[in-house]
Amino acid sequence: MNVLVPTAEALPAGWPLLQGLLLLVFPLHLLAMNGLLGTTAVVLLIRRRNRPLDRALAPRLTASLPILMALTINLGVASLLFSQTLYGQFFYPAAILMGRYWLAIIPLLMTAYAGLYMLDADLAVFRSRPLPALCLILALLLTVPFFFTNQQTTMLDLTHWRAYFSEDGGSLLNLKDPTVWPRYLHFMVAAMAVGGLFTALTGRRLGRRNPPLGAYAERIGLRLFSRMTLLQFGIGILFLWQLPQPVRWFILGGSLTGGLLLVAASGIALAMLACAAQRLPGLCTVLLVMQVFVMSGLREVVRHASLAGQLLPANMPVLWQNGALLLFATVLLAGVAVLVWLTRQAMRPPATAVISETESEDDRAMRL
Amino acid sequence: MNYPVWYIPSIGGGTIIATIAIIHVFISHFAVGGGFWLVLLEGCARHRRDRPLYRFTRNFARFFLFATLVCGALTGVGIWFAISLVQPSGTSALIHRFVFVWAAEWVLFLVEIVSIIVYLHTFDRLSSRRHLAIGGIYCAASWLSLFAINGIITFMLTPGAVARQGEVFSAFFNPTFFPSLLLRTCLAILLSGLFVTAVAAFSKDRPLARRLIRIAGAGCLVALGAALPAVFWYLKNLPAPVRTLVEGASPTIVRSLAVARPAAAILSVGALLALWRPGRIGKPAAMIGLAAGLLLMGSFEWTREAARRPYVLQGSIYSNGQRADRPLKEPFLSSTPWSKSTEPGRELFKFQCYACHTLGGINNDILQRTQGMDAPALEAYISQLHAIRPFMPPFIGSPDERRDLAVWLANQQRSGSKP
Ligand code: HEC
Repeated sequence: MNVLVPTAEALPAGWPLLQGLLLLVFPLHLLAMNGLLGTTAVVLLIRRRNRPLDRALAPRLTASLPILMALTINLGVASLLFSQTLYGQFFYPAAILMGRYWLAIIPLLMTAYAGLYMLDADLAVFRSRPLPALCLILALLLTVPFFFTNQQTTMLDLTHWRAYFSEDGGSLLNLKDPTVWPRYLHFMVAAMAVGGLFTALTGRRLGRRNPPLGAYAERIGLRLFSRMTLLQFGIGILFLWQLPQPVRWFILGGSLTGGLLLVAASGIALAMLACAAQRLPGLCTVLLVMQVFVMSGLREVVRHASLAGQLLPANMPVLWQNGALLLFATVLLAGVAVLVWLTRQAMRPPATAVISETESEDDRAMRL
Repeated sequence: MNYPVWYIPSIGGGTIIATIAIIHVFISHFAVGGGFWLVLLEGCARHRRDRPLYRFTRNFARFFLFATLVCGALTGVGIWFAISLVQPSGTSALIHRFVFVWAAEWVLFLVEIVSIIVYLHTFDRLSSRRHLAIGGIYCAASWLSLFAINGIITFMLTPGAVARQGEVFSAFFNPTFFPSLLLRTCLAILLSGLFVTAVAAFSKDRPLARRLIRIAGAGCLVALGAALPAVFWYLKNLPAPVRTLVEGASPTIVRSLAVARPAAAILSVGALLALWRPGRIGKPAAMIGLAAGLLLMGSFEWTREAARRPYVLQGSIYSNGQRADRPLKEPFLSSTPWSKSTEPGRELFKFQCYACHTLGGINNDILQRTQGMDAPALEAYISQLHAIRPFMPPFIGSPDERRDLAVWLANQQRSGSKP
């Protein structure tokens, strides 16, 4: 045991349950985050190209961005919660070592979020020149995950922790770790792929009313998706290569789970390429969701392998909080039911059919 | 407990937490009360077929969504980020005790986000019954989030007799849970009423603005009136040592309450004026009202934080992250793996005093507090820290370490007082 690792606190439930909860919410967070980041990049690209179809598509995509941001933050909170419960003794020191950057995440996100709302509101300032604002937002959105990657790798690299003795002001990024850049790129390229897929799905939806626009969005979206998925094979291999040998071995056959997950991931990636070529965005989405879950599982394998000897789930004390667990399960079920109802309300056709052209929006609302 | 300390001596971790927290509580109480105002105003507008009021409600909802999601949600995450950095042992203890309460609160947060977005986007699309129901869901979810977080925050101040980590509900429903819930609900109505007033004051439709300001003023007055008994109930349920701090033994709290009283007075007068002569409440008055609300809320939170001293978790973990059951005379640095041995004085300050004192900063500067004390005087003071000033934790360490700290502080005093 490394003396710098704080004593772990008793877990409020068994390890597998908490780990399962983390593996449920974290992939959802990734999906929302990837959709947000990738779609912002798509909006920037098409705003630059600025052909008529691009001009029609951009506001449709922009309208989803603040909502994706809200979901990303919310699901991120849940992931951090379970992550701190499971790995607190590694999590907090890693965040403290890079305290300035860790805290900077908040103002960066706030600026990006406010920017997205303003873009969506189509404020006059942005209407004429949306590109600088979009570039800034994208830059902010690319910086935040870089800090997260640094924190998550610092958690795994206890030798780096000793750097604290010469620098305790919270400005230690983990840049010497060779896995940081490939890992970060792996996430960012995934985000671009998901942005492409999100664009294609938006195209499907728009195609019902406006077939040319829908077909265009689907085409550019799926093209981005397959290119990025292809690129991902290269980056994935680079990332695997940079992992320390014992950790790499866990994935390449040393552990059954690790090996199976890697095989599954490669298979799903190939299937996604085939589906994209066949213009099947719906099936691509199903496969993508599976892929993100598989990859998150692989990420946990890497984490456990990296912390071998330091993280001993079997030895951690557990004080089951059955009542609180039951409460959470109840709130979760009720919450999901309410969310389903709310989503259905949002999808309902407007109850305000236009009766006459002269009737104002307010008058129509008053009829309701 | 064994965590590194994020050391930025001129600012201080406490200052960072306080800054984010004050913004957050201001917006988050608005987020709880604002839903109630939205449903009330929309219901009124629909019932009376009042088009200007309806339009106002829709605009207010847009402002509300932006303010609460961008500033409220993210500063909430910000507090958590900041306490993880500044108070890792306290944060970890709370997370491990209340993880499922927090997880339930996360579900409520998700319902809040989705319901307020759907509410705004379906304004002119759904029947009035459905649309108001969506607003109602938002109100319920946001008040229940307050309910959940309230249990955790009050536990930090008044854990009651709870010892075992597995006991969640008795820790949650601790002695100040209900008074605090009532007080916070009042503050939520008050602050959101101030926001309604401010948005109305900027409206071009003066007759509408006057009507709204009168309603909001009435709401604020009721909230202020109900807050008063809640404060006394809260005080009554505090344990004796905490109560003496609040009633004057803590200079921090004395200063904080000196801000709260005039703020409350301004708000009461303003609310009466809004009822009696709503036309007199223009943009400047509305802004003063918001500022007074911010000060009132800020000093409540500041007082609550200061009342918990010297603990971060009353009775078990001190503000500087040390366990309260740790033997006082045992050498400190040798059992603190994250400290380095080269500068014992600095390390002792960092691990034991820095949590509440900056070095040359604004917030509780140790150089100011120790002005005119030389090393022997400091050494004597440090050995009596807790006895003289009960809001400070006792010094943990050997007599040699105590001397190291005193000498280091005296040296800082000398180098710090040179301009
Ligand atoms: C729990 C927070 C906390 C911690 C930890 C803490 N202090 Fe203080 N200290 C305070 C507060 C609050 C004051 C009073 C500020 C005021 O007067 O407004 C104070 C005042 C002082 C004073 C001025 C004495 C006086 O009577 O006015 C000295 C000296 C001092 N602290 C030294 C220390 C030293 C040395 C340490 C570390 C061993 C330490 N403090 C740790 C909160 C703390």
